[in-house]
Amino acid sequence: MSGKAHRIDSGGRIDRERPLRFTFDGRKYTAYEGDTLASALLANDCLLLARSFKYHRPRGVFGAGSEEPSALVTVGSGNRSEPNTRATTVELHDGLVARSQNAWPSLRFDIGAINNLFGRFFSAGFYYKTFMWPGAKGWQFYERFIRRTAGMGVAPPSADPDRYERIEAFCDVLVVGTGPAGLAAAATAARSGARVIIADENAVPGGAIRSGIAAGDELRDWAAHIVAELESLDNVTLLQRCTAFGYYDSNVLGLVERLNEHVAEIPAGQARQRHWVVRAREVILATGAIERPMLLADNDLPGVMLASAAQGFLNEFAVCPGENILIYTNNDSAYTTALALAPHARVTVVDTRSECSQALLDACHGANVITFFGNQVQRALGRQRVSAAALNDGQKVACDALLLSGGWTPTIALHSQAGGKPRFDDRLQTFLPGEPREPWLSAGACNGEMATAACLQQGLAAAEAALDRLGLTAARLELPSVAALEASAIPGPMPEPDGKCFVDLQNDVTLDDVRQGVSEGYASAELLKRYTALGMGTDQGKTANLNGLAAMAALRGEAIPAVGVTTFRPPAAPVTMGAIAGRKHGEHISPVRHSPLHAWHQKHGALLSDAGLWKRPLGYPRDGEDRRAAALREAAHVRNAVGCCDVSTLGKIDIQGPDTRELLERLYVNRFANLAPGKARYGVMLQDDGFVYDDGTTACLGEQHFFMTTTTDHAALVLRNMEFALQVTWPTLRAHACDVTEQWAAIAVAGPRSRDLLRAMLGDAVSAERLPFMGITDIPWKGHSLRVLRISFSGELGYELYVPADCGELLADELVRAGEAFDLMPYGLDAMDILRIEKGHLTGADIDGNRTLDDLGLAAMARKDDRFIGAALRKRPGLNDVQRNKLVGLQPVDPQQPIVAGAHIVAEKEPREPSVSLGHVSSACYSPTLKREIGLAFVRGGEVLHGHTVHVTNPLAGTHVAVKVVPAHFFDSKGERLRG
Amino acid sequence: MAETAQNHGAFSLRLVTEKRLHELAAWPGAESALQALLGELTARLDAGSYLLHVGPSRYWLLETGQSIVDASVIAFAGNGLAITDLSHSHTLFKLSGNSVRDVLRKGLPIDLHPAAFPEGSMAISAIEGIRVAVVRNGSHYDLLCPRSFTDSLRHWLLDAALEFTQTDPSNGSTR
Repeated sequence: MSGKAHRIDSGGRIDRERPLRFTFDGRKYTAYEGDTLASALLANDCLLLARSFKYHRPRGVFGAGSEEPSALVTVGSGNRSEPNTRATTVELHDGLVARSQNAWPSLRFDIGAINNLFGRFFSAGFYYKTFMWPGAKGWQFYERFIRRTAGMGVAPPSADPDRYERIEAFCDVLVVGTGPAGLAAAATAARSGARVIIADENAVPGGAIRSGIAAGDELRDWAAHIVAELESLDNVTLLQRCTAFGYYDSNVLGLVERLNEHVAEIPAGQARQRHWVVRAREVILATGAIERPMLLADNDLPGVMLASAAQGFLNEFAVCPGENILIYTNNDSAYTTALALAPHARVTVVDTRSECSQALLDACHGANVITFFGNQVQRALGRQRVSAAALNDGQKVACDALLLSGGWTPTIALHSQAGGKPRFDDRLQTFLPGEPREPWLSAGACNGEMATAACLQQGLAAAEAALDRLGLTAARLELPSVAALEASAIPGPMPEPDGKCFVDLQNDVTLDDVRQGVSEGYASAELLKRYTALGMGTDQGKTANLNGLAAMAALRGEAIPAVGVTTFRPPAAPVTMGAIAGRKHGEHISPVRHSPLHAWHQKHGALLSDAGLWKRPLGYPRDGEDRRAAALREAAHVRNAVGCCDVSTLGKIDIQGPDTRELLERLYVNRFANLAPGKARYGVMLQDDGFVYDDGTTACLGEQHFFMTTTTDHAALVLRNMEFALQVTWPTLRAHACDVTEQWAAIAVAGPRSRDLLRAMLGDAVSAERLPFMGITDIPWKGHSLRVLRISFSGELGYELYVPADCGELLADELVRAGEAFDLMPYGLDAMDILRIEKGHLTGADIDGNRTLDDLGLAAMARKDDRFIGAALRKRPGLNDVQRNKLVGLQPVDPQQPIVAGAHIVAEKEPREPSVSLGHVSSACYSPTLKREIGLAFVRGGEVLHGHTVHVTNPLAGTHVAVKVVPAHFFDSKGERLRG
Repeated sequence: MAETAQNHGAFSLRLVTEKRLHELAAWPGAESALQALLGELTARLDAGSYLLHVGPSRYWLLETGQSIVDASVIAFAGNGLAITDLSHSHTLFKLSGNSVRDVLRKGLPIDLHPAAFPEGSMAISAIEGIRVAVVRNGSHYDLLCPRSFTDSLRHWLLDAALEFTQTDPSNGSTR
C-alpha cells in the first residue's frame, strides 16, 4: 500500500468496468460508475475539499451522507450550477464538474484563512458586538463586507433551465428508510395487500446494511431478496434518491426525489427533481441514526471523519480512508469498523473506556487491531491533512486517518415535526422520538434500538400495528438471523482541548463559543443556536446538535434535557427552490382567465393587462398611439358616438326561489322587495362590520327568478357570502344561487348613438318605450337568447348585452358589422375608468373595504328597517364620525396639472414633512370631455370642504398640486344622458 | 360530436365542444322533488350523459349525447327546483392514454387509484388553483373546468404530459 486514502482491488458496488472522468477545481480525475464525488476524491487521495464558513480552515469529508457538514462543493456550471452540495451525496457521472467554494485564490492557499489566525477575536456574537458603530446604520454598512468574506457557495445568476415536477400521491403505508427496520415494515405491509410507498434518500436501498454497519451474509441476502420483491409488487412504490423532508398536518409528507441528478444528460421532457406530496394513512419512520463524533482539538482536519462514514466508503465504494488508521471511540460499534478496515490498513483503536468485551478483544487480536483503553485523543495533528493524534498521556500516534465514534444519534427530525417534545434516554445519552401527533410509528435505530435483530423486529411490529389500524391482516415475514456484535453507547468525556475543538463544523462553532454563550447567560439550546448558529445550515446540525447540548449542559452543570433540544422544522434536509416551485414559474406561475372575447380582443389589437387572473383589454391603440392617447380617444368617442366594451368578467349569479326577494332584502341595503319583473336596480352590500364591500345590479326576470351582477373583483366573494347566508345563516330561506359568471359573455354598448345601433340590430325590443332605463329583456337572437339590460357605468345612454359565452364573439362581430353605420368603436378599461370618474361612479379603487355608505355618499340608499347584513355595526360611533374621510371630487387649480391615485391630501401650500394627511386620492384621470385633470378622493369632513383649496402631495414624484374640492360628479350630474 | 383532438400517444386530450350542462338544485323543503326528478332522469340517461353530485341538494347533469332536458324537465323549475343552464360555463376535456393518471397526479390532489376511484367516481377538486370536476368515465377521465381557465388548463395538461409524450432525445438537456 503506497497511498494513503486509496481504492482497494475488490468489493463495493462500484462498476470497475465503467470508469468515469470528472474534474474538481479544474483538475481531472477518474473514478467508477457508482462512486459519489466524495468517494471518488478519497479514492484519488484528494482529502482537501473545502474551506470552512468563518475561519476558512481546510476541510475534507467528515460523513458519508446527508449529515456531511464540511465537504460542501458547487456542482455543475453556468445556470445549472448548484452551490453548497454535499460531496457525499453527489453521485458521479461522466464529465461531472465540481469546484470548491469560499476559497480564494485557491483551495490550497486561501487568503481568507487569515481569519483563523485571528480566530480568538471572531467568537460567537463578535460581529454584532463590534460592527454597531457609528450609530444604528453601522451594521448595514459592514454587513455586505462581512457576508463577502464569510459564506458558502454562490447561487447561479440566471434562471434554472431544468424541469421540476410535483406529484400528489396516496398510500396506506408510507415507510421512510430502507434499512433493516424499513425493509421489514414495508415487506410486511406490502405482503398484506396495503398500498405502500417506501422512500430512501440514497441511491441504493439497505441503510445500515448497505454501509456494512449492519453486517452478515444472511442479512445482506435477505435485504436483496426483500428489495427485489418490493420492486416487483404492483402495490409498492420504491423510491430511491428520495428524501422525506417535511411532515405536515393530516399525515401529509413532503419528499423530494432526485430523478436525474446522477446522469450526464437529462432525457427529453424529464424532470431533474420531483416533489412528492404524500398523503399516507399510516407512516412508519425508520430513519436510522447518525454517528456522533468524539470531540478533540483540531477535529476538523481533512482525514478526520466518522467511523461509520469510513466503513460506508469501504463497503460501498471499496475506498479505504488511509493506510494507518486511528479510531477514537467510547463504544462497541467502532470495533465493527476497525475489524472491517483491518484487512486493508493498520488500525489502532483508542477507547475511552477501561475495557471492552473479551469477544471484541479476541477479534481485535485476531485482526491485528491495536487497542488503547482508558485513553483519550486530545488533538489531531497535521497541516491540511491529519498526520498524527496526540493522546492525553502524551503519546503521539501517527495516522493518516482519524475516525471518530461517539455513539449514535437517532434521526428524529420527522418524528419531531409531527410529534411531541423528544424525550431524553439516559442509557443512550440521546433524544428519542416523543409522542406522535399524527398516525406514525417509529422503528429501528431512530427509535433508539441499535441492535439489528431488534430493528428488524421493530419494523415488523410497526407494520403489524399500522395494518391493524387499517383493518388489514398482517402477512408473515421471515426475518434473518443476525450476528450479535452490536453497539452500545456510553457518554464520551467532555474534553478540555488546547486548540479549536469544533462542535459544529459547518458553522465553525467551537467548544469555546459554547462556553462563551453559556457564560453570557444563554440558558437554552434554542437561544444558543441563534447566538452561535450551532445546528443551522445544510446539515441542520446532524453531527453537532447533541454534542452541543452535552457541552452546554456540562458547562451549566445540568443534565442534557434541562438545556432542552432545538425544534425540528421542515425541511429536514436541503430542498432546492426548483423542487418547491415545480412547474409553477414563468407562464405557469398562476392560471390565467380568458374572457369569451379573448381571441376577439387579440384580433382587434387590444392592449391586454392583468386584472386579477383575468386578461382584460386596457384599450385598442391604433398605429402611433400610446396607451393614454388610445384611452382618451376611446372615452371621447363614447361621449360623442358609441363604443362597446367587454364586461364578461362581471360576476353573475342566477337566483331562484320563492324567498329570493327576502334574500336580496337581507343582502342589499336598499329595497328589492318591490322590484318588478323586467326591471333592474342598483344595490349596495355591506360586510357584517358595516363597511361597504360590493355594489352591482340585480334584475328581476320573473316573480321568483333574479339575475345579479357583481364587480369583477368580488364575483367569488359575493357568491361565497350568499352561499354562506343560505347554507348557514338562514338555511330555511327557499332560494338557490348559481354562479353563471362563465355562462354569459357580456358586452356594454354605450354612447348617444347606442340605441340607434341596437335598434338597427335588434329592432323595437330595445326602443326607449319598451326598454326604459334599468329595464331588462330577453330577445331571441340567432337561435339563442340575448339578454339586454339598459344600464350605464359610463354615464351615457348604455346597455349591457348578455349572450351564452360561446356566442360572445358572434355578438361582438355583429355589433361591429352593424356598428359601421354608427361609428362604433371598441373601448377598454382605461377609457371605462375615465368615463366613470367623470361621472363619479365607483370601483374597487374607491370601495376599498374601509368605506361606509355615508363615506360614499350613499347613506340615503339604506332602508330604515335595518334588516340587512351590516345594519347593526354600521351604527358604531366611529363609523358615523363627521370627520371621517368622505368622497369628494378634486379639480387641480391648474387644469392641466395631473394628480395621481394614492397621493395624500394636505392643507399646507408647500411640501413639508411631516404633514397631517387630510385624506387621499382614490382615482384620477385626464378628462377629455372637460379637458382637464380630475380626481376622486376621500377627504376629512367630505362635502364641508367643497369650494376649498387643498393640496395633493406626492413626495415620491416631488409634486405638490393645489386642488379645489368639488362634488364627486363632474359630468351630467342629473343623469339626463343615461336616462334619455 | 364536434371535437378538437390533440393526440400525444401515451396521453390524449380532447376538448368536447358539443355538450350540455344543467344545474339541478332544490331549495329547502323541495329535496324530495329533486330526488324524483333525478330518478326520472337517471332512467333516461344515455351512455354519454351522467349526473354529478356537486353540493347539498345540488346536481349537474352533463350530456354529450341526445339531450333529455326537455319541456317536461324544465317544468320542474320553480316547483321547488332551480334548473340553470350552464352549458357554456364549463369546458369538458376528455383525457385518456396509458399515462393519464400520471399526468393528473402532477396537480390533482385526488387518489385516482382504481381501488379508490373506481369507474363512475367523481370529485370536485382543483389543479394548480383551477377548480375542476373529475369523473372516471370508462377508459378515460372527464375533466370539467370553468371556461375562462380552458387555455391555462390545456396548456398545463400538455406540459405535464411532456415527459410521457416527448420522444425526441435531441430535446434533452446536457448538464
